[in-house]
Amino acid sequence: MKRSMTLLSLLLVACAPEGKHDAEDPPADGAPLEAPAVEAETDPSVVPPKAGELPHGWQLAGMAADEYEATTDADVVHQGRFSARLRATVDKPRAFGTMSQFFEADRYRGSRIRLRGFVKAEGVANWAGMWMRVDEGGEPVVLDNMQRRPLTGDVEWKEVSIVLDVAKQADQIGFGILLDGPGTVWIDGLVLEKVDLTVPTTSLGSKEHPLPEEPANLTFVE
Amino acid sequence: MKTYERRASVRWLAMAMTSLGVATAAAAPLPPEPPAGWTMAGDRNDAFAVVVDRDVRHEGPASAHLACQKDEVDGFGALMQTIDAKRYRGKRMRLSAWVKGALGNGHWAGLWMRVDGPGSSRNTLAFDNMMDRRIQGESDWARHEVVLDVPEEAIRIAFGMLVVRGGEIWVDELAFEEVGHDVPTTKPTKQHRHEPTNLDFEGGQP
Repeated sequence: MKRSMTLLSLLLVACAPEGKHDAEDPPADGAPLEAPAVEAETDPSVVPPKAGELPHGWQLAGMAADEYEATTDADVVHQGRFSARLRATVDKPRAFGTMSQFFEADRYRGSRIRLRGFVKAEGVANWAGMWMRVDEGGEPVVLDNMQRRPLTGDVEWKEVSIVLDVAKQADQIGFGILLDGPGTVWIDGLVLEKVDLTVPTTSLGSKEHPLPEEPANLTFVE
Repeated sequence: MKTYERRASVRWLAMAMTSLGVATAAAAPLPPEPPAGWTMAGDRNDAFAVVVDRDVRHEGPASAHLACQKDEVDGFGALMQTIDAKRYRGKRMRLSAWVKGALGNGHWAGLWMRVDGPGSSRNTLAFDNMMDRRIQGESDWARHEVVLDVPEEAIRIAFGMLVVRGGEIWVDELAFEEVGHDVPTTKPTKQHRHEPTNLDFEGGQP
């Protein structure tokens, strides 16, 4: 398993240089039209989601975004009509891909926040994880990408969570699901909420405190 | 519809390149300097060269030829330029060009445009590199385009062409112009949300 901190630094610069890295929207695969979602029934101006399209409000990114696809999935769901699926489209992707979104941090500044959601994995040869990060001044300062508790192989639907502190000077928060290598991951039913300080953070480190809080892999079996 | 003078015609591209005395890609041991106004970019731009090609062209005397100098690389090369967004704020801008490609298996190419907002580091407001409508394989001259809205907060616009992993393209008659709202954008402009959205993946496109 290749769980190097290199990937952490790669993810930290997920808004990458000009070129392919921060591209959005994977190829549409011409999947048949699904039944309209509830929103579409009440608001005719909303185009309902379709299986096989990038979920509205999300983007496909990462160092090898062009070797992955992120789509809604109507067949494998945890709840509702759709989940989101991220999968590698080549046998050996050269780096990771992620389905992500960002929003302004202003309403969460000074709070501890938790992102929880259900994830499922199939044939993940290397690793995958849900992630969240908080940026200040355009730079990532805290992050957890589940690198220390990765999803590998086949994993049935299970709830995972990420807890981070949002500093007073934070400007944006990003989150999503990442996959490094072959395989498929699904995500569904995400919830972002403020939690109190009794809930421990899961941060892998921060700019101010870049060192891990515990030693890792002392037995060299990882 | 109004065309700006920033029409990067092959003619001036060619002149700029000729003035540098650029050799052919095959003969050059190192990638030559990019033409005036343009810079090389990409995580493997060291493996790419851009030259004027007077034999393979769509119109006019020459085309720009962006070619990987190795069979395959783990990254991409791009030719780009960056301009002030001031004149284009509130407008819908189209980058288009004739492109011909000779791209091997797993290689792809595209035109690209990125609109940046304020901030010390990358703040991408809109971006399209044709990743979802790649130029692949052996392709004859075809007109390609990227259309993005430039929001009022835009600071700069970067654009150009890229080749991913290997192969080569010829680009002719680039145009950067305002288009009407009857022309659809090829990618959306980022919304400044204050809350996450569509966490259950059931939501549609408003």
